[in-house]
Amino acid sequence: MKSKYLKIIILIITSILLIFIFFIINQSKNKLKLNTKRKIQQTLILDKSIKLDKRLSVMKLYENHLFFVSWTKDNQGKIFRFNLSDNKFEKEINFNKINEKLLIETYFIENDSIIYYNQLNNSMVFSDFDAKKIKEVIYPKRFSRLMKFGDNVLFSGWDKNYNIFFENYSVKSKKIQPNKFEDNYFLKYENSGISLDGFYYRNDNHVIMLPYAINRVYTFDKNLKYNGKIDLIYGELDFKFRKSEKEDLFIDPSNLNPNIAGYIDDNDKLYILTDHSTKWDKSNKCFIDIYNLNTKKYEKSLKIDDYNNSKPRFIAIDNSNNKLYVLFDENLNSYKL
Amino acid sequence: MKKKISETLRFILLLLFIYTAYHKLIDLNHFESTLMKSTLIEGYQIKYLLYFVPIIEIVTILFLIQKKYLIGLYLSFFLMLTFTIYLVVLNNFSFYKGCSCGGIFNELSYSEHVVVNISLVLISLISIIIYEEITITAKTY
Repeated sequence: MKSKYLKIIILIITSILLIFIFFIINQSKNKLKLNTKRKIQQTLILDKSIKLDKRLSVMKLYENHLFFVSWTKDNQGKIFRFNLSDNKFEKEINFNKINEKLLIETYFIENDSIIYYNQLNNSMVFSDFDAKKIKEVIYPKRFSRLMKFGDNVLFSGWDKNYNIFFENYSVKSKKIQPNKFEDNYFLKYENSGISLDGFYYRNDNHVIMLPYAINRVYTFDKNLKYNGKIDLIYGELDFKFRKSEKEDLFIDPSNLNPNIAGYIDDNDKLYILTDHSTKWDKSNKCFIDIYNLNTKKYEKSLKIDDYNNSKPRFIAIDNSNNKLYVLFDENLNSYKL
Repeated sequence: MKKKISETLRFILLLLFIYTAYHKLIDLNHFESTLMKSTLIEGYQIKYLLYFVPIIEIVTILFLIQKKYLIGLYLSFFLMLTFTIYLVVLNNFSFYKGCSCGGIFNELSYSEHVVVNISLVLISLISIIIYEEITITAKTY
């Protein structure tokens, strides 16, 4: 009888020890190391928090409204708008009325029209605010990200060798031109199309591409021509891949993705929501680092805490009211700046 | 009565391991891709675990179908406990599904999976206790 319990105890200890050994020997050493000391100049004061009934994404500020998409089931063809004057959600814009097969990955709001990218068929759909379709443009090539500015669209993605490409497309002439520029990171990082993948942000003067995992931002002018880069305040990071027995490529899960989201305000300030967490230490590790897009220099940072056990996911800055809007998993918070 | 309970619990564990080993073996690529996404496992360890896990599950099945199936019960207990600890640790350090059990198990949420796993650990544990009691009683008589 005694030996039975002894065997069980030995098995329990062996199980714990086995996982502990895996945990210790496979600890990732990837960690953000700052090149410049972070200048935290103010503490954010929570103004309001609104509980959300669904997970929202891609927050954009346009004329006293915050806009969102949701990739949750039954909501992938809708754009949600939140009125900042009365702090209420208005009726969503439901594009499923004209097309049931929709997955809106991102969208742009220009001159009271909405242009959304339907990931399911690689199309850009121009529509009004009543979800009435104006026209549709299908890009003839696979890509991963896009940014629209006036009549031009910047597409980026990876080719068959997973190398990054940037291309400009004219909505008017329908011409595609390569947006060629060289950067040492294109060679430094393996499979640059994936390792440098990121999200585009813009204001009326600048467009930037913010990779999720790399300490660099690529900047573009109003014509979507490359015009430089900004090195972020932390050092270079590893970005590794794993290969399966069939040579399929997998992103190493120990890679860090410190650049959660960005925002360019009316004063050409670039805000980068940076996650400083590591495998061991995850909570309350986010900062908003602020750079000047005209001087391409770092200016200061804001410390932003997790809310309701969620990391901040998207940010927007309302310069006229000195407010910062932060989207969490279940909450939309506003802070006084 | 105890013998019937013991046989039923053994049957549940047998079904579980046949089901999960079968799902791994018919879709080894899926199992490999699950391991690839694990922060707890390094790239070079994956090729060993890819074959070691289904093999140890088959070994457990082979012990469970024996007339004297105590080793099978101990192995079931050890495997289920290790997998449960792995899931708990993994979920605390990354945000992906660490399970490749196949079929219905893939549909479970993290918390549901942990509850199911703990239940199976308890089933193995109870089976061991009952089996040992039956054996001791049989020896006494």
